[in-house]
Amino acid sequence: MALPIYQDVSIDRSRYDAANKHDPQYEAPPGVNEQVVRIISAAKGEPDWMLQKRLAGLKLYDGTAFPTWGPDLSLIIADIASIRFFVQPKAKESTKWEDLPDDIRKTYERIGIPEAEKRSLSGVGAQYDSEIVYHNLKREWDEKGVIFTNMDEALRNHPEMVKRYFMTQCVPINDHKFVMLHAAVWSGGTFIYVPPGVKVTVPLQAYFRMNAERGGQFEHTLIIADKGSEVHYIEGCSAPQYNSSALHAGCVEVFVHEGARVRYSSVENWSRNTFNLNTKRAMVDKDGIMEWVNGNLGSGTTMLYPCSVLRGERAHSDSLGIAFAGCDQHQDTGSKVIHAAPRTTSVIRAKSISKDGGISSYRGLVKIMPQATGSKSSVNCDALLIDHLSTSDTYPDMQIDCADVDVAHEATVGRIGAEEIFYLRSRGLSEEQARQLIVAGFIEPIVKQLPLEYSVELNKLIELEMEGSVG
Amino acid sequence: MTGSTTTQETAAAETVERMPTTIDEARALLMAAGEETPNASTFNIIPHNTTAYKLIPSSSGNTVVVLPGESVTVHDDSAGDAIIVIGPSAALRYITTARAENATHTSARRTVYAMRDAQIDWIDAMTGSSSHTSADFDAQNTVLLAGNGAQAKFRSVFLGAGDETYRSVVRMLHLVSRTRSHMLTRAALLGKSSGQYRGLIRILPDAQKCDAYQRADTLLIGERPRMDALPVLEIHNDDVRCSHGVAIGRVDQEPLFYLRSRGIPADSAISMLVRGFFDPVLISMGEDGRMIGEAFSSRLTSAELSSVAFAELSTTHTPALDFTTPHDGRS
Repeated sequence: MALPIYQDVSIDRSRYDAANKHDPQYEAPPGVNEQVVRIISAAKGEPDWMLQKRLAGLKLYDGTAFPTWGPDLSLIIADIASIRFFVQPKAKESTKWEDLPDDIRKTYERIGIPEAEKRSLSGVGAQYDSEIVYHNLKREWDEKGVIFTNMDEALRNHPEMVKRYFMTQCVPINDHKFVMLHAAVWSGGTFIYVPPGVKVTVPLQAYFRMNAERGGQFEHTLIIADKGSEVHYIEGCSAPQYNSSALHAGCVEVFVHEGARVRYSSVENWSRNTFNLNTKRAMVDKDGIMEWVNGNLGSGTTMLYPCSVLRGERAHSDSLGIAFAGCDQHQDTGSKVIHAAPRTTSVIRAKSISKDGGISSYRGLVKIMPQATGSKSSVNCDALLIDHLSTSDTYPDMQIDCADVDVAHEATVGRIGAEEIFYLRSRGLSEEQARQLIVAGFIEPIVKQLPLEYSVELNKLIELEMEGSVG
Repeated sequence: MTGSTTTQETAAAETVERMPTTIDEARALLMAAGEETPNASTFNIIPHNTTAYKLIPSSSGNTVVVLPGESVTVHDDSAGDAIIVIGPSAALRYITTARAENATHTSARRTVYAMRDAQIDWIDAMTGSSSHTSADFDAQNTVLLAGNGAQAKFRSVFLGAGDETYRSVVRMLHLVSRTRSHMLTRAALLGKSSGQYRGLIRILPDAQKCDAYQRADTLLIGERPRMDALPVLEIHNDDVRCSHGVAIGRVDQEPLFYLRSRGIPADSAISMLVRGFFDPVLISMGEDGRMIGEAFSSRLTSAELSSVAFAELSTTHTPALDFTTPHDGRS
């Protein structure tokens, strides 16, 4: 029985969960206050407007209550004062892999970054705790004017563009509690600019890793795809397993200008002690196309709803999501689309798997504004429940403010059918193999949208999570 | 929401088939299931072998008991709250209608408690008023499937016009195993009317082999109608079959064109298509469906619709507001 990918399922989660010795160059005292914010800003030598933005964010954060809907956040709320909001690794950013300090290099080699880069990426960035430690862009793209750098450097070298796009119209600093916090303490992240008409044919990649215990990661990613350009950006995340809570409150802002196309893929695999409260949003202009591909496997608690604001005529958004909730996990994910211009279209496909008492929720929004005549939207959610302990929730909100539209939503919840298992077993598969095959088939439409390394990794992770599920 | 789970489980386990003989006993059943009780202080036990029963309008609300094995149709246009307890193996056909002839606001909370093998066929209609189009309607309908083998079928329709607002909350709570539910809502919104739909299917951890379906379709016609639909699924175990669907759209342009090309005026054509949208549901409701259909028809032939219809056909779609921002200066 040849099942090439499924034969070798020996993946060791410890390669993600193992921590390196914590040896930072500098770390801010725990908690967040004006002093910490000033320290971060000064350490980066930022212009005054950015410091003012951070302070404004902090002020809003202090005056706003934590959200009371969705998953239980009480653990992280209790721990928030002891989180280190800024940890500077002992390394200067480098474009040569060999220049990285041994332990950081070792971590990334364990995860497999360099091989991936050698094979198929046109650029890669790696962030370790609060700052980017490695960055490389193939010369070909450099010459065409593509900018792929870290946010701190972008702030130094392209201040006008950053000032114009950074937390202004897409995700303003007053958006919600964790965005306010992000505005105050953000550090690192990626900046991408693709000039008009340039099509970056191979993906750009960044990998984020939290190493410090009670750490926080607040990377800011800003992608600007100018008229008629194309880019695919992939992001991977992991953190070692500690007993105390860690917080990831990153922010992604994407600008898809006229006729441009951006694909944003991410596979998040933070350790189970992580609260992943991330904000991702794209502004899509006329004829632009935004594609979100999300895999949420890690984190104890995830609240993530990538959003596309379709503000130009005929703009399109496509969102694909897969969430896996195992024991003690609550994956509260979904997609949002705001149709703000005529003849805009959107497609949302979400799949979730719950197992061992895990809770997966789809929470989404389709909003069609009065001016968005002739818009179309389709939302499809499928949930698979592996056992009777687990939970699946679906909350798809549709706010339709325009008569000339076509909106459809469908959702199904079910388990693996006894008939399907019986069929595969009669073909000589063990029950466990049969279950894995069915689950692999369930997530296949999403996995096939990812580049090879990631789809293999996602498949392996799901298999790992599925191990021992027979019984 | 999950906090009440244990109370509901206990309630399900302790469900006794003794019928309530007082309001407080009826309330206790709901409370044991973790539910808030509507305001329903008039107590009615439907006598044996009654086939049709009409609730008396009462601002203090009605509590109704359907005795085991009975089969009855209850008409409720009382515009008040209600608690209904359906005994084992009893069948209830429950017709709730809200009209706002002289009022500008109607609001009702109704909870039905279904015991073992009980069946409920619930029809809920909000039919507005023939004289004005400025009322607001609010209905919160809940079914507790509390006995093994209980089944619920819920169908609701409303047709909004003018400045009316409609809010329809339907909650289908599967407390125990082998319970089945089917929910269907059809709404058409004209003019500047707005609708809000909140539908919930909740299946508790011990409620296995359940089957639940939910569907809500809305037709938007004319000037500035608005719909906010949130169909929710909360599924706490894997041995279930559950799905839902929502569609929101405008009148299909092709049949409209066809009717117009046959010389039918726009307003009549639209009114025919709206009736066609409701018909499959109304026909399945029998005589009650015919009455509701008549109320809808009188609304559709009103002057208001004609003006709406022509506005619909004469506007070419121009964006009302430009939401774009200036383009990046670099290019």
